[in-house]
Amino acid sequence: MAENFFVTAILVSHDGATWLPETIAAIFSQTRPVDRIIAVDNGSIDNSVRLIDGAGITVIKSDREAGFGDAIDLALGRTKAITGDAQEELIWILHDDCAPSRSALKFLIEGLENNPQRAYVGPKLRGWYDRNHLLEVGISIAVNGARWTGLEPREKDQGQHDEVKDVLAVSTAAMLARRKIFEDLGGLDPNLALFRDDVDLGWRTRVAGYAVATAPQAVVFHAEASASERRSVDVEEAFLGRPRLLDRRNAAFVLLANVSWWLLPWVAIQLLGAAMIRAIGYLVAKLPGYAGDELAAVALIVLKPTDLIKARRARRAKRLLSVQVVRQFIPPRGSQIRLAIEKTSAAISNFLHLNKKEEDSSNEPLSYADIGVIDETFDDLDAQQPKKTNRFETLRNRPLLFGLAAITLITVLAARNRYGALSGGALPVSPDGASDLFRKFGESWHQVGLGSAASTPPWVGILGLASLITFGKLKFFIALLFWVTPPLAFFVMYRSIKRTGLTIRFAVLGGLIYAMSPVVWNSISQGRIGTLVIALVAPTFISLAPLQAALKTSSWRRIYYLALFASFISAFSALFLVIWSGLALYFVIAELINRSAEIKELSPINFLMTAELARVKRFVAFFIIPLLLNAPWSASLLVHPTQILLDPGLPVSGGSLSQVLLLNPGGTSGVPTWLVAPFIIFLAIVLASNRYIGETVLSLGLLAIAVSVSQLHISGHGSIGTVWTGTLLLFIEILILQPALKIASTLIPNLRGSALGFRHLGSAVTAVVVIFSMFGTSVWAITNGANSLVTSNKRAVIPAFVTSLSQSPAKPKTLVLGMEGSVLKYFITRGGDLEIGDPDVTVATPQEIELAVADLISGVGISSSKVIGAYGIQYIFMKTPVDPGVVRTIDGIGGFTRSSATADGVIWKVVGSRSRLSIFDAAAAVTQLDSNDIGAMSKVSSPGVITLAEKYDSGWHMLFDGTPLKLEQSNIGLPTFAVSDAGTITLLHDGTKRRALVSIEFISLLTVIVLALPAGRRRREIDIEELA
Amino acid sequence: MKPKLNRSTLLALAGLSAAILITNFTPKIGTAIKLVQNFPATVCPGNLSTGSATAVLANAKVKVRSIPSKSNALSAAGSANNLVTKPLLVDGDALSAISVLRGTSPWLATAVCAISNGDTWFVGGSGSLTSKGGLDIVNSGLSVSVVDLYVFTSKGPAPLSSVTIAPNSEKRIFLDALAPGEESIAIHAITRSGRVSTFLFDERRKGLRSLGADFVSPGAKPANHVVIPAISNIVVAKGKHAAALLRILAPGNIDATVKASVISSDGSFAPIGLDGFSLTRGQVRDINFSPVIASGIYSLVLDSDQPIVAAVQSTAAASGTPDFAWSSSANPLTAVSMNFGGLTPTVQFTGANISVQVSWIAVTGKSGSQTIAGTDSATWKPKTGLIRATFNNLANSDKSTYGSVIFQGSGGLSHLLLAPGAVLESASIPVPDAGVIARR
Repeated sequence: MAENFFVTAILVSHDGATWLPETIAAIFSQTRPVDRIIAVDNGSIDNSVRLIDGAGITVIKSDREAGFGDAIDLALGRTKAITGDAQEELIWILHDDCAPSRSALKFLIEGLENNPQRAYVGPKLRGWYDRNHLLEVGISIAVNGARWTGLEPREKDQGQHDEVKDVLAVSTAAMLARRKIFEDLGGLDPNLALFRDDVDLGWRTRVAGYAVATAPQAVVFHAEASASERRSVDVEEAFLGRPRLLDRRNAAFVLLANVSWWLLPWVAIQLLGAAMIRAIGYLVAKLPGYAGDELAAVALIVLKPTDLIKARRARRAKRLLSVQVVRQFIPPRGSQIRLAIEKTSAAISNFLHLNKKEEDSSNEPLSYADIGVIDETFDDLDAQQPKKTNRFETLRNRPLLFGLAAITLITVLAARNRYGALSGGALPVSPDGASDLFRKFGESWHQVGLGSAASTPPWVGILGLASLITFGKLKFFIALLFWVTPPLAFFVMYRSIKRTGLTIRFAVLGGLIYAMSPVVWNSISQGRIGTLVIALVAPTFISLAPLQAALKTSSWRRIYYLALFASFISAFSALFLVIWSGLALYFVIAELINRSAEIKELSPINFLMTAELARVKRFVAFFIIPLLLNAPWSASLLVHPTQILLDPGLPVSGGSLSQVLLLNPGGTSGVPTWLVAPFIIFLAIVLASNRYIGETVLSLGLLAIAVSVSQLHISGHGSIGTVWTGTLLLFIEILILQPALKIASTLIPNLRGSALGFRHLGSAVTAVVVIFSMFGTSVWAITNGANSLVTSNKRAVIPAFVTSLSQSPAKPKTLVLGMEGSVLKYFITRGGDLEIGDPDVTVATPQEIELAVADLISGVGISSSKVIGAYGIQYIFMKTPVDPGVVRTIDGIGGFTRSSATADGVIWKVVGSRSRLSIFDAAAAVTQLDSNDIGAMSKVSSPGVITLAEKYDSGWHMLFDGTPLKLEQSNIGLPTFAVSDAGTITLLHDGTKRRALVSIEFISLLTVIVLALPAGRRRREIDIEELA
Repeated sequence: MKPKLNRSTLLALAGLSAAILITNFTPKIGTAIKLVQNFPATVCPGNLSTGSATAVLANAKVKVRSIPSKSNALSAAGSANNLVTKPLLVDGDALSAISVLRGTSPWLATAVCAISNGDTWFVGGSGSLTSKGGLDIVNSGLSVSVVDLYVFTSKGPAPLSSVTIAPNSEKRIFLDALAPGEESIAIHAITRSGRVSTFLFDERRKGLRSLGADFVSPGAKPANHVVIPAISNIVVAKGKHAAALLRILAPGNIDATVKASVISSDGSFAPIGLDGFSLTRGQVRDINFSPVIASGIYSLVLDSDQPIVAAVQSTAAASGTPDFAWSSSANPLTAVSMNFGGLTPTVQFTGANISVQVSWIAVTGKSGSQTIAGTDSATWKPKTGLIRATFNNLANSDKSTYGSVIFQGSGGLSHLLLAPGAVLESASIPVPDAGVIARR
């Protein structure tokens, strides 16, 4: 019976004038009126006191720094407790920003009635502004300190939580408590002035043997003004007045003060880990303040351990039950993960939604697809009743499906010799896993040839990262990339064209033309991994109109996003990096020239300080970011400018001038020239239309560059060849394809109504060329195209026994000779075939070796074996087809002992060859020292000169019993160190510089990613309707 | 009104045109492939008998070194005709040196100083009691050489015999040790490693009486069409010509059916017994035949349904002393210059359309030039001994001209292949290329 209870309402206010009128009105309109009401105001500076006073409520004024628990204690101290058997006193704690519904108190009392073990009940809290928004129906705390409600984000109240249930705690907002128990337990902990005091109270109540429950029929609307940072937090404990800091500190305090002692370290670790993860998340969301709060909260606990010790002692005194009773209310880890995933997916969805909004200048939907209709063929379907169709008609009516099916079928047939580990052409064999690529990217000394300290290009790391999609199985990833490129290229181009508003049929046509272009197929055929990756991302990049974005001074986030995109493409094409940077620089200079009068008027310094430079700054960002994110590799291009013209992998010559002019990059096993790609006709059409000036000028400019460089022989990446112009031609194709299709889409309807003329003829010729080219290329792809340079499961070049020997402590190298046409070529291997990433760091062979090998082949090199052996080359392998003359010469020259001659080739052992690390003592005796692949640790038994059989590099360091030795260069160019006594030597290659530069690159990348991502919002910046 | 092109577009078009013009008319900067061309050093055999051995060189300045020798350095020969006892390494030269062995009996044996191409067929020699000849393997290189010897006899192939030759040394294997008691042998020598020259010297003696000697020149590889030019048909007595013995082998796995025809200035015909006969695979067969022709020299052409190797031994008595010559099968004639050291060669060409230009310097110091033309067979014999001669096949497109030399006179009988001892070899200066170790 409600009459058995005496209800004392305690209203606590703190700058709550916004919500107080409704709160007071709600209190006084309860169906079960309160018996006594008292208010405590914590130093409000608005008219809260006047409002409460005006309602006839007694107000006790407290300090502004007083906590919520202090206010309750003060109120209880001023009101005499009702004792006796007739009535039990209940206290109804009310925040100034919570308005109970009319029956709230009645239902809360019912929650306690007949349940003497229940110490408290809490209402169902709903939003103040969105009154259907479910905020809490009981609360708990996760082991990482998160406040746990068990509700989904923005969950609506549909009665789904209306059953009464036991919970760990309830919010103090409108909580109804038995006064005696409340006071017996010591009330709210003064250490928790605000936030998490409710959870702590619930925990203590539970272990004291009482129950806490919800009364969901009691509905209270809560503004959560403090948590949502709608008012200042002035409690004494709030360091710097930061509510999140206080919340996190209190969360940690609650857990650490209440958990059993043996769980304490584990909980502490979880709290620290969670704080760090959240801090990183906040940094990514560009909320450094919140990130600081997370870490500072942990620090505050650590700095004042005495509070914690006292709190634990106090809790132990009141504890009747084991802490295990609380366990059932702690949310399971699975639930936490599920909720985290839901929140993340909601955030991503929100991000994409916002991004799309920004991309589209007009909010008009362009197609059904844009408004969420999955079946995009909807666009072209008339609003008619669907009629029954056969399969062919279904395909015809669904061009996207038709296009995808066609390109997939061609790809499957064409790739019949490419199922397996791929290599050939420009593509070396893949290492085993992603970790190998990460190692190649990170290490300062590469074991390629006679060694190299060159910077590994960033695409190696990106490829390693991307291969995590296939669980780090790089071989599979590369094969997958080559298999799916045509269908993916089709789809990417389709989407890009679709974005412009062209119909599905035109988008499908564009996708097919692009996917069947010579650039795509020649790249597959010749193993051009860089061009393939660019082919998959460039259409999207171009469709984002990056230059226009800077010209129109788009948001900085968009600029960073585009610069990041450009950096990604640059990683796969140095030529793109240079052209992109050049364009950005051009626009900067052009802008400054245009504003030269302004500069003159203001003076250059004033101009820079005061003028509006939004456009210039954006182009400067475009210029700097790709260079920075690709450093130090981008810097190495300045030192070796010819490397700009090299694509990832081995250099494989491109096509002739005429091929390039026909927009066919050419090269061995490429699409034949007579299968004229239609792009050159498209370029002519776009040029003649005089409508797409930007695209035309850019395309012509790129073609001019392609023509200029196409016939240059470039030495680098371990080989020599003419420049591959595929990447440039790819951009031309992308630039002109969409305008050409737009022209066609407007021209074709007009042709029907106009008299026969040149346009009809031109259109017919273009159509014939397009059909011929696509059909011809398809036939070529599934016939000759299948026998490409790139095929699967090629035989290893290096014989197995040479590979196994390379693992010995001597770390021998092998000089491999091979005939290619009439040219004899050679390279040095450490035991394995050339792998992905290796060519890109290959540097010139030392001159001494070049001379020794030339003398060897000429038959005049009496001392060839000495030089070759000194470089640690222990074997010479001439692979099949062998040149009998060369074999005879090597047989006859001396210093080389024939080891074997098999179908794979002929092998000689180099007489007197040295190990990777060896020492010459005073008696000129050579002793082998054990070595690892790069570093070494070994003992020397006598003084002498240690020779390292690697290319000389200033990064080599040797410590002798911890003391650095002086690095010198021998007369044949080998690094040497003189040791004066017996002792232990340690050899290492100093990778500090490389690691520092990679770290800078990584930090820069993270920074740009963060800047490109949408910013998180502080809680005070979030619309109040979104929160409550 | 047609739209005019924008200024930027025009500039871009101009740039493109300029790029095309410049690229098209600029000399292509390609990769220069540096070639090293040389004649590899050849080896003349040493004195393989009791007579004299002469290495006939182009001139006295040609650099040579004996094998074995203490020093690896070459030095000038000092004389164009070098009497040798040990094999002689001769610096590479366009003029093929020859080795001339003269027996006291007398007999004559000649061989082109050569370097092995690694795969050599010798059809000739004998392992019978009369045989004093042997296989002379010279390793002129500085690494150990291994040569595999596949010996075929009338009973079939003998087990493989591998021979290891130390650097800068020679190894002689007597035929009666290699194929004891075997009258008919053929040897296939494959060089597994090393710079090797192999010579087969066939000398026969019956007691103290010499039966003659000659080098068995390395013949053509097994083929279905085999041409053996310059077989001696010298008149040894009135109405009696030199005896002829065809040695033939089908080294493959299938028996062969062979048809032979004799080609001479008297015409072309199939000799009795050789107009169609079968040959058991792997077994060496000797067939005596006596072509009835007036000409003193002829060629034998063999056509078979399976690849075969063959040679003809012609035996005659010079000044009453018997001697023989092993005429080996020839490869199509290419340009060749050869030193003759005063010998008077008889050169026979065989082919459908013979046109060979011969230039010579005679021992008299006079030089001359002549084009030898004919169909089926043409013979050229200088009036005097020659210092050297150069033969150029003018019918370059016609690969069916073959030629060989026969020496037949009072000094003895010997056959010499008209083939260079070493061909000009060109090797590119190797370029470093990582593609060599890539699976491409």
